[in-house]
Amino acid sequence: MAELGQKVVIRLDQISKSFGPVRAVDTISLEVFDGEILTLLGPSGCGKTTLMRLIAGFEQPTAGRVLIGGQDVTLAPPERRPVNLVFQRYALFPHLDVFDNIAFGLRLRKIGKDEIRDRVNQMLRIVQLPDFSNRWTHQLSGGQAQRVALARALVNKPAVLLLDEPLAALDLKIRQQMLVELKRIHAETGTTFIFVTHDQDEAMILSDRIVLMHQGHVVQIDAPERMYTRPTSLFCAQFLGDTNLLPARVVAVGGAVARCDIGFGVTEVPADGLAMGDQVTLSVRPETIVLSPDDGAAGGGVLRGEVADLAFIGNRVVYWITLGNERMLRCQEPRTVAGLRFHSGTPVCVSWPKEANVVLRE
Amino acid sequence: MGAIGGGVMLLRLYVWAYLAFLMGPVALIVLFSFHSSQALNFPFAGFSLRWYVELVTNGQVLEAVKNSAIVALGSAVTTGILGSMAALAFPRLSPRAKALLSWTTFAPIALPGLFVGISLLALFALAKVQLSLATVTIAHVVITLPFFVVAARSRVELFDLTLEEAARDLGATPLQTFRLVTLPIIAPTLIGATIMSFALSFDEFVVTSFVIGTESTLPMLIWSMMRRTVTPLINAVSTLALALSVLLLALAGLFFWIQQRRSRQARLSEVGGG
Repeated sequence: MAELGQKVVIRLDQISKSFGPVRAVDTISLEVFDGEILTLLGPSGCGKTTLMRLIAGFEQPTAGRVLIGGQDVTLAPPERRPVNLVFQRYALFPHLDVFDNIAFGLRLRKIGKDEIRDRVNQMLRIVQLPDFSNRWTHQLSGGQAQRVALARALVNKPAVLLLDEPLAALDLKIRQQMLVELKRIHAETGTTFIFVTHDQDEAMILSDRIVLMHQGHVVQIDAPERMYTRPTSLFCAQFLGDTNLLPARVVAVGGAVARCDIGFGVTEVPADGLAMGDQVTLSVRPETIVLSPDDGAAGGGVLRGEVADLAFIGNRVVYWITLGNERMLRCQEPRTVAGLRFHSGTPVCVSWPKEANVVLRE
Repeated sequence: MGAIGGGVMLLRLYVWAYLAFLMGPVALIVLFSFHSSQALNFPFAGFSLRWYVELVTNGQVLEAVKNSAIVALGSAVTTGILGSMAALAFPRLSPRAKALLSWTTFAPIALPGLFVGISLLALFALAKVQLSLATVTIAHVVITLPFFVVAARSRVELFDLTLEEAARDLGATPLQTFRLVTLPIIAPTLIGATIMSFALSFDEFVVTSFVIGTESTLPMLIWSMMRRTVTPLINAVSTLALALSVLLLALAGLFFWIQQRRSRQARLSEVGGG
């Protein structure tokens, strides 16, 4: 998977962590490349936080090794690892002001006064809080506190910055601002980010690569767009965005194309190792489905249905279409200037390009 | 409206009666400590400092005050160190160990001082330890430690352990983490609880009466003076003991006030700095 010429900063080698009978992390191997934003994404309890704590040194693995910059740090305590962590609830020191919070790590490393002052001030500029040196932490808003936490970690020039759901405690508006800020700060510092979140939107906006986790395992590692358009598992297809899952049976294989019976019609998918009679699941994203008015003109082989319900969500409209056999399809289209195209009870024709079919073989 | 006004009036009356019941005896002692005559009843003959003069020239009283101060200081410092360690352990314990330790720590509070005194006396006799101010100090540690832990624990358990993780993450060893983060944050709590232990020890009587040697502490002296005659000197001594307690409370309050002022100033600078 490693692309040529990309330097690996963190290598997890067959790493496992059990808490009593619970396997929080189960035999995960992973490489983190220099300068990338890698997201650990998954529902709560999937092991993403444990994995991050294993990298930070707050947990020690039951099996496997952690290598940072080529060095085996599996047994090293947190203070001897070249990584820094941004905590979900900031964890700023309440007895220190903003300057002393940021200088904390530098002072421990016995760095000279002048250099500390310069580096702290430079960090304050990067996180856009230039005049905040002497503030107390409890006077900061959530967004400001998280920026200080970022500065406190980044000032140490870590090989990798770990971010543990850093936006979860913030309001929606601030969260969106901070996402943009994080991208800018990443570009400005060039630091490798490992970002832990359960929020797929955050993961897709921010990441170069997403590591999707489920029950202690890695389900899929891919760039956001590829993961969204080409999920390799039912879990991935359902976790990332909305989708229609259609049980299908391969009824014909000819050359590069296989034909699948989806109960209310037949559709084509890439043959790709499929054989006659195979039972698969097709994932069809709602936004790939095209609705058109059913004026009776269309001939046979066209899927016909009726609008059962609809939801207007500002910039988009979601329609639920019932097909002849009681199956419900979820379709989504952008809001048009002309207004809603269909209403409940409207007969419609349903179609989607065959490229939109994603075959899941579970 | 009239009915409600009457109700409020009654409530006010109740509050004043309540305060009078609590503070009345104290006020009387303070008042009569300044009485110019020997009498401990009204009519009040006039103000005088004669009992205080008698007090500071009374070697017995001064000796007892000194002894009480030594014992209270010794037991408060010992309790402060042992109790801080116990309080700090609580958030890190498993739920079962925590339940067991809370029970064993807090049980002595419910135990009558009589039992504590007798058992300590038996212990000292068994170990052939000469009764002295040292045994009193040890006994006071036994008494004040549970109170210290109760007072300190609630605040220490609010301490956010991720702050320690943050310090470790930034390069601090466990010892540096304690010195630079944990201790500074919980220090006001521990100092306040230590002052409270000092106050508890300073006027302890029941257990002290079992384990004291030939020297006398202030409460012991007052008690022995009372047995002979009721002299207004006792009022003066009590008033001074009261003043000391108030002073200690004010001192404890000062720690919190300093913290509050620090944050208020910072708030002002925020408004100014915009």
